[in-house]
Amino acid sequence: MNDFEILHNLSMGQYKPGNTVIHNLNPALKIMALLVLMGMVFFSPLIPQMPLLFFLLVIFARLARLKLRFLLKGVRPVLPFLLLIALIQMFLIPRFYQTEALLHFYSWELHPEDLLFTGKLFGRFFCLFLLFTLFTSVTTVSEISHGAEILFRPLGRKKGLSHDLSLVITITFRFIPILAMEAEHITKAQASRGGSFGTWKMGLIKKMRLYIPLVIPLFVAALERAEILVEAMEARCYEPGKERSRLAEYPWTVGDTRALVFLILGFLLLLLSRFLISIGGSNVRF
Amino acid sequence: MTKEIIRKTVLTALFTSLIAASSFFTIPVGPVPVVLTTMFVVLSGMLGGPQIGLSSVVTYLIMGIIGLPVFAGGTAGLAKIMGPTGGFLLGYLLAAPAAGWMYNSKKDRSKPLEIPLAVITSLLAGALIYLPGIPWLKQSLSMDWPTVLKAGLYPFIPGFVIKSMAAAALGCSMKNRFRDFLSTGKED
Repeated sequence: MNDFEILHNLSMGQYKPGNTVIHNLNPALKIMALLVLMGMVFFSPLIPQMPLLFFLLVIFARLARLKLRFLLKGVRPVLPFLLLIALIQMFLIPRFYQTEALLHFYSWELHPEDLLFTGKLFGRFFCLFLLFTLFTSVTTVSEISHGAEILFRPLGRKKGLSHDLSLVITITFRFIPILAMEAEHITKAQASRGGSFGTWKMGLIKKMRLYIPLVIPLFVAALERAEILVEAMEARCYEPGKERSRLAEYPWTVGDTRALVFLILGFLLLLLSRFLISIGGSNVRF
Repeated sequence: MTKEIIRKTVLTALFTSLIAASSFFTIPVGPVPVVLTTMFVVLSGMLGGPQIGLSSVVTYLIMGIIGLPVFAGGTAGLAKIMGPTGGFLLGYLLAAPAAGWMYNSKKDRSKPLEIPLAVITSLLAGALIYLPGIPWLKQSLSMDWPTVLKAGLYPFIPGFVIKSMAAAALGCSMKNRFRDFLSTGKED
């Protein structure tokens, strides 16, 4: 029956309601902070900046009153994939530095470069994963939509471009659970008519043929819902491109300014430490 | 005019939802999982036209960039686009409008001409995803050509062909419904 619980199996980040400092930040600032912290993760060498950055993210999680176990619960399925990437790197990619081998194993050698690459790969992944789950845990979809509209406003030569993009994002995220629920209903209906969903004993072509009776009703149902939505929007006097008011307002507060200053200082500090600290000489930079 | 714009907006959101929702499902067949995202990208162009197809893919990529977990396996972020598989995501930008332009769902055609055109459109548009994807993967992981083809192209060919056939079948089946949906607003 686990195959039919499509809505439960969605690996979407889950929003945790709260009234903390992190929750109440301006949504545009949260998106900007996400992008800046993402850049910081990619700009960080492994030692010592990466652990400090992870610790910083842990502090943010504490401020938002979120448990670390909750934030990192989705890590486990991805670890074998990371290990595969590390192995591909060790065995297939030529090395850039001539260092003493730590270990010999037939024709293959283990170098410090391999260990540092693997550590950097896992470090980056854990930091990014924690960052994304933290972001989706403290930000609602409506806030993301509003934040995207604010951030994309400079791009719009036409007045309604950022608003249209914001509207599409909002409708998209209303549609996704609806589509998941619809897919669940269709799957159960077809299974009750004898469809063999969830059986893994057949070949690829037969399995693909099984998804046709799922996808076509899904398209039809989605199109019907789209029709209903269009008529409802027209009935409520929605006009594209017209100036509109907003139900939820997100004013910029002193806390937002403080968080922005903290973010800029953090990035500048990382930039400075990147040039001041180097390990093993200037030509070795991991 | 107003109703037509609303219909285009809602249809763009609908295709974006389908592309994003398909990222959560994989069909575990053998060593290489088959992801339905590419099929829905091609379908968004075939059924919605080049403009709506491109808008859907752009919205999908923007949502992924700003942190919403809509990429394959529920991942997200600019890291995905800058990473080894980023070229495939950028290939979506080529595939959706190309499918819409080649198929041209507003045109009426006889059945013996419709089906081969849908099949050719699906195959060519799907191949456009790999056109930037493979060189990007090669550059990102510093591989040579035989290795990158062995890792990034050959295992995915069977799934790609079958997904193209499915997209062609769905495109033929659903074409009239989506065309009627878009043209309803013009009658007012």
